Amino acid sequence: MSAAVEARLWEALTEVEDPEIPISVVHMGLIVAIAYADGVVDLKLTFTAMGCPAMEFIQDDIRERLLAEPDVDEVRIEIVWDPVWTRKMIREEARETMRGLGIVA
Amino acid sequence: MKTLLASLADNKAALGRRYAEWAVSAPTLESAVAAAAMAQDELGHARSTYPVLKGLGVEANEDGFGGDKRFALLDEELPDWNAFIAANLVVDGVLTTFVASCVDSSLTPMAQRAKKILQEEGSHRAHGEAWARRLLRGEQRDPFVARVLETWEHASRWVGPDDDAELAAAVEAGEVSRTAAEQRELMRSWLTDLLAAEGVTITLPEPTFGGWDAERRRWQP
Repeated sequence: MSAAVEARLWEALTEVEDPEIPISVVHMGLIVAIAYADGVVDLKLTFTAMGCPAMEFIQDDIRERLLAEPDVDEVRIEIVWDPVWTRKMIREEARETMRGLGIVA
Repeated sequence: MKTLLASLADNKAALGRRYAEWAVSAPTLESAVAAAAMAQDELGHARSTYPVLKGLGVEANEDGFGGDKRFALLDEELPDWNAFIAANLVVDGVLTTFVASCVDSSLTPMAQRAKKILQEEGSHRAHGEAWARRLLRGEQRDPFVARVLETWEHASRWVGPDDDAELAAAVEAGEVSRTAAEQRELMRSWLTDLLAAEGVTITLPEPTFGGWDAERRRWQP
């Protein structure tokens, strides 16, 4: 049950875009882990930079999207810095999009 | 470790502010953009370090300029571009040497942040070194070297005396991997080699600790 919900939550977050680049937070490699149990989502999130000015926006967007799922009552977000985000964490399909936008990835 | 971390965060908050002030007045457009980017990094490092302190039971000032455990030379704006690059090299360098000594820290939240901070500090170091070479090759050489020496007076004391009790305890606990003397020597050899490569020989003195405030990790001239 949890695994099925978690898979759906990963999919839901592909609709949440990084505010600075039209790539989802999943494809950017910002979502480190999702765990679901009894209506509560524990999500580990990282950022490309510690000084990312969009931290609050991104967390708000993630929380809002996950709470739209019928079986989610609470979203707990933990910001983590290990593993360290690098460009290697960008998914291949997102690289294509970024190259199309003229962004080196 | 609590005072060290508080001072690390306060200094990064202050350094971010000082970098930001040059984002509109650096000598080239590229370095103005770099100053803004480095400011953003430093403020992010401060913002990410304060929660480590909270985890240790320390309520810290996370807003604006940070707390008061900062270098005296960061109390006011960096007065000229030579001072900016000296801070970029020496202040940022001393703090980064400490962070590099926390990568395998037994204080897990700090170890996790250290890896990310080091990733971002790589470009700060590249910026500082490139500008140092440029200044050392031009008419600003002597004023720049004077700023480096002045900045060393403050930054070299940050890790405290060789027998600094707080740092010694952190090393003993596995929270930090290098002693005060080891960190200071790493900085000294890096800076003297950098300047020597441009034909400038300097002596970076071993600091004395009159005027040292251990509670704020701050030296007042």
